[in-house]
Amino acid sequence: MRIKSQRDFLAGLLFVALGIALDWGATTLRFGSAHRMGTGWMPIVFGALIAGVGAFIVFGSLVVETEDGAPLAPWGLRPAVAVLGSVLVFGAMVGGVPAAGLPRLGLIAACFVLPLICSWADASGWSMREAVVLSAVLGALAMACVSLLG
Amino acid sequence: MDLLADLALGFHAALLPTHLLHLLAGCMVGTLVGVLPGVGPAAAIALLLPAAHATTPLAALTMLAGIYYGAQYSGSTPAILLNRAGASSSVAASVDGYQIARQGRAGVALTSAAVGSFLAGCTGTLVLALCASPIAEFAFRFGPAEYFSLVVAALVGAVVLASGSTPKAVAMVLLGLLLGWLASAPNAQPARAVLLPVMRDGPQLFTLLAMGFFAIGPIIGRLAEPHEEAAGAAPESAVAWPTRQELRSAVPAMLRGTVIGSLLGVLPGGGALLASFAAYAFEKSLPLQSGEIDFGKGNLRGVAAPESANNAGAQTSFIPLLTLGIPPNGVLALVVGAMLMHGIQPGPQVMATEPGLFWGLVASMWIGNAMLLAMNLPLMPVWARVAATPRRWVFPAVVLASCVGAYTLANDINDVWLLAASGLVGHVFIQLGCEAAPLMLGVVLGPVMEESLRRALQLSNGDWSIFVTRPLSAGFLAIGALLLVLVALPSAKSGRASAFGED
Repeated sequence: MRIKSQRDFLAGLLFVALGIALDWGATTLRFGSAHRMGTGWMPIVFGALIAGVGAFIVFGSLVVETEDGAPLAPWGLRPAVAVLGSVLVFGAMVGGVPAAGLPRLGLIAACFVLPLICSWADASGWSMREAVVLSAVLGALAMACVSLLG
Repeated sequence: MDLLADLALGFHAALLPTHLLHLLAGCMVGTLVGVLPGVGPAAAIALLLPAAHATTPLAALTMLAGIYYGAQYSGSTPAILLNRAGASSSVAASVDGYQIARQGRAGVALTSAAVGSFLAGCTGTLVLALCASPIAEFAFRFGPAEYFSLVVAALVGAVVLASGSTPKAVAMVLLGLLLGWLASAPNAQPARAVLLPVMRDGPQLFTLLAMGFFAIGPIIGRLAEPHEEAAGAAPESAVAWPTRQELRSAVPAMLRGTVIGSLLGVLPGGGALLASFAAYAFEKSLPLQSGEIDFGKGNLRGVAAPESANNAGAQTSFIPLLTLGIPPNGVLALVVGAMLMHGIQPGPQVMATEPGLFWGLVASMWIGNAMLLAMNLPLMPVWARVAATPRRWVFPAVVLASCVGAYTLANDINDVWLLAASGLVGHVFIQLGCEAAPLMLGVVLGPVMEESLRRALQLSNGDWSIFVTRPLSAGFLAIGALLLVLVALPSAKSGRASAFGED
């Protein structure tokens, strides 16, 4: 059987996995009855519903014709790494990383560093000089906002 | 008349300096995101949720609302000048508006859009003011069964009008309902400890999810696609008035757009986006008068109608939110989140327990529309220049704002890690074609839905038929079922081609 929609196939699988995980995790919780719902009622029922819809989606992805196989959107490895990496670096700088011996470098420094890393995400037209200027401007703006709003 | 007294109360509150300042800020941000590439009202609201948390409820709502309807004003500027919609509800205006600009008459299109937006925005607000009390009174008589069925119908409606796959949107709604319940419901505590110990409390979770799904995730997605910067310098964009003949056809188009927008804004899944597309399609279906330019080649009606509709729709979409507690689209779900953050449960009781909040918000909408007209018309060349900002400057700013906002929520560094996770999940969802808006709707409605369900079943002693034996409840469920059937029909598939994107 060919996968007619890559996107739907994977999405459906994700939902099935989520639903099963929820139901499995909620086995220790009390289910109760409709009249008196236990704390596990929602997770179990909704876990089952989500898994069910997920199965339906997987089924549809194998059966329903699509024009082009509905491929996944581009993975965007470079933007993902740049953007998420900049968030992680921000967190590491603000909070410090005790395990790696990195001390708390503070909010201000983090605000200046984040745009540097993040602007690397756009492959076209990137220049170091522009990134540095952007970081300076945005960092200053961020500092102004944070100190203004207390 | 009571209405006048209420409005007086509202204006009194709205005109307080701090509220005016927040309104101005909201309108400015809304105008900015309307013209800037890659950012929309949803992202802006998500980013400002921490700020909304730190101020009074009325100031917060005034600001967030200003962002939403403000973006509807300025979204047409890049649409007309650069053939690139600033807010997705402005796509309709770009079809004819860009053609008008290419003929060297951009000012005419821009002015018509601004004036139409103002008239429609004020009218939409009037509709909101007039309809709110009757609807809220009607909703007061709802029991838990009715409320549950109403929420179900609203969610079905939102899903049905979502672009792309309905089953995926249903799954997203279900996931959102569960997440919302886990985060906020008191009786969910044991479940939360077992299933998701990392979860934050409702408001924080909500803000982090919103930032990840509406700001960071889409940014990664857009950066991943091949992209060209908007070409060419912005053409002349001074204020210019249409010819008398054009006015004669454009003004009725504005009125028609206002009516369509006011009606469609109220529907689940509705709001500015749906309204603008519907108004354009309707306008196009009317027979052309003699000597009129074809649609798609620069007909001013093709700009006036959708631009009026999106503003009217943006205002009236607050009706279900403020009277029933049900946000009709993803952007307003964020506004509900802001209300919940302040401990205000949206619903019919809001008008009774917090009249200053409701009427202050309504009054602020009129003031805001006036502010926006003043901002958009004379400053048009400024905004045109801003619209040409390269997105590689905008995106880092948005990411930085999210990080700072996430950290300052509770001065908890873990929130930044959760933000990264949320952004990653948001990115994956977009890749898999799963819409975030249904999930956010589920998150805000989850606690309410679960509580209504539980209380209804307690009342009926576990009898599920209560939902169909009570007439109003059965009616709501029937509407929901009807919508589901409609979407399954093949003929509906082509009609749903317009996007339900959140910004």
